[in-house]
Amino acid sequence: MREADIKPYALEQAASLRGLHFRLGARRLLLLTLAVGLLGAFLLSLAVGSVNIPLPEIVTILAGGQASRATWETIVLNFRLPKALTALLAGAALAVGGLQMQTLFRNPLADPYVLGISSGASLGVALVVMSAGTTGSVLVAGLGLFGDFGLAAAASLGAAVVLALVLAVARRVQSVVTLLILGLMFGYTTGALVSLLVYFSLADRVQVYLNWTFGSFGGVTWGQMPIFAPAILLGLAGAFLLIKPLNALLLGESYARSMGVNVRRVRVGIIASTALLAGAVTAFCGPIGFLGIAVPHLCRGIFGTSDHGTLVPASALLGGIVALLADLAAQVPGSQVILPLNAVTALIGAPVVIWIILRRRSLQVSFGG
Amino acid sequence: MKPNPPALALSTQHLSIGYRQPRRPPRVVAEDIQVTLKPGELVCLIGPNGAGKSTLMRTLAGMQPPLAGRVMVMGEDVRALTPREMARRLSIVLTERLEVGILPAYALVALGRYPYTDWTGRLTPDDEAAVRRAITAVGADDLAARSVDELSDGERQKILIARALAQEPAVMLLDEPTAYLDLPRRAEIMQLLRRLARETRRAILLSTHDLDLALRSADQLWLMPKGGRLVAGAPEDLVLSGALEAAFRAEGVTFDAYTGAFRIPARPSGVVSVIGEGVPAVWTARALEREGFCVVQNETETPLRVTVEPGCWRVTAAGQTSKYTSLYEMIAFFRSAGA
Repeated sequence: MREADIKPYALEQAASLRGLHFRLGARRLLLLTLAVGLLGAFLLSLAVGSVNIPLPEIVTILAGGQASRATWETIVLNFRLPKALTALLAGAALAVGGLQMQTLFRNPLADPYVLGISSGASLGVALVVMSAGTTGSVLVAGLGLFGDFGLAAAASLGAAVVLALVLAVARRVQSVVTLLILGLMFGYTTGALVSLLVYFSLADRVQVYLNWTFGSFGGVTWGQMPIFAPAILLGLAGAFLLIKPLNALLLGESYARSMGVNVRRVRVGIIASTALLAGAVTAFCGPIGFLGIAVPHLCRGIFGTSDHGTLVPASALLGGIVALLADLAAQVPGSQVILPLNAVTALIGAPVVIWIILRRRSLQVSFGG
Repeated sequence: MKPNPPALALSTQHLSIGYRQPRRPPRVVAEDIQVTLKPGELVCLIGPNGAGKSTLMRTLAGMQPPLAGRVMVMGEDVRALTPREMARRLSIVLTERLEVGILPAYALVALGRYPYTDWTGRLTPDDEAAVRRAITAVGADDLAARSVDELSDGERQKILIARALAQEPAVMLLDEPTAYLDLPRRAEIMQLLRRLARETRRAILLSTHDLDLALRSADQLWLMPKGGRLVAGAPEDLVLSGALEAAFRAEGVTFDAYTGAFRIPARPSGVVSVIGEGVPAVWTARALEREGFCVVQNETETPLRVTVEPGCWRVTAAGQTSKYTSLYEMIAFFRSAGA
């Protein structure tokens, strides 16, 4: 080949690769924007509520200074700060958990709960709440020792039992589809048990259980935070460590194995990380839906990539933002009304996702569905 | 040539393939397979559906344990290698249609560096160079920045081959790499694989149903008859020994050793003589063979004769002569006469 033949070709190639690098740069900028957005949403959720507190006062309080009104300090430090932290962590946890499940099962409809984790938690809570005052009260009395950990402990226990079952199965089965079906079956079984409990319970007990299923970020106290936060951070760290094999799994398990991925070990890692994330959120906040399935799709649409190096941090950031905003909306700013969180996430989120999907082809091409 | 060229990229020793079943004797697909792959060689694995081509490919790739015997890659037993070591020696291209979502082709090829990168998956300059080499080798430079989901089947296949190449293995296994492609694209991919085998000194094994292309391109054919023994050799060896014909006879296909083409035999309709020369005579004979005639050349004594003339065909049957301006018309006559 003569040099003249090569040159325009090489130039074209260089241009296309520059385009790739430009896209990488744009992605970093977008991630930075999300981080700033998260900070904004966080401060906003500290400022807005039944009482609105000016932002400068918030900053003063967070910096350890004196606010112009003492009640503001109490409101921010004892109520809004743990709640905002919980929303941020829970949102990040659910989004990253959902992303991992969607990749593992190569299914755009997977969410962090597909393995039946939340069903297990529901059963635990239902057992505790609805057996109170009946013959099962010994169990409640035992859990009562945990004090305000009662519900969280019951939910954790339920989630852990399902997790143990799923992990035991995950080591044995060949196909990931088997795992998906088993997760669904665990879910149905526990759901049936919960229905039975509901059927035979007193109305006010059922109401307590129902309230738990609505979901809330307000239940985590400073006393519980040392358990909740590390659990979430550990789960998130797991997801970051799994970025490389998650990318390999984009090609499917056969290709992943041929590239040297220990598929079973990675599968167990992904499940453990997701279960920790989903389990902790369900235990402390209730089964919060929608976030885990929608945020990863939003991120694919916004960033235009399936690369987990981008999607894992992006989902964590956007998940936090969405959770904080949903919580703000649930409080109906300027009023005393508080709506069920789960209703808000779905009511506000579903149209947003529909809009994104219709505008972009991200969902269709994500999995060829 | 290196002073000590690595003798074999891949070899098998008394390999039995198949499936272990709980509480039952294993289902053996093929036994006692003894084959070798040399560096720089393009080998085509052919055989009828259900003969066990995919099972053999999976076993060679270490994705399925052998029932007996051994698979050696670069002189080492596959079972003794860690997944990472194996991935540096052998890469695959699967036949399943890949849905990877929104990923630039470059990033997909870069995944081939998986067994070389650290836990973050970050590409070093060496890795980047290997990725670019692989993309250039398959002639896909202009595709690198495009998203995989926008590529055509042929373009996607090239990118998948580049990914397998970026893994820098000694052996590449491709399961029906031409399955979804049209004829020109099939020839192109085959040509490409042949060139890659030669230029990069890699051993490339591919399974295919494309017998014609396999016969023309492969250095070695591995012929896997249903339930029989795997036979290996140069395509011409297998033709001369009759192994090729034997393997496909049961499938209702006959192999014509003169033309090197496979034929679907029709009901014998009798003997016809084609009188004429050159290309028109050859294609006239083909049309008649398709109708089940036994064709002889330039015999004037047979009761049935077709004389090829410029622009027309003269058919003599039992002393009567009729004239046709196309083979289609002529065949229609034979069909109606035969019925």
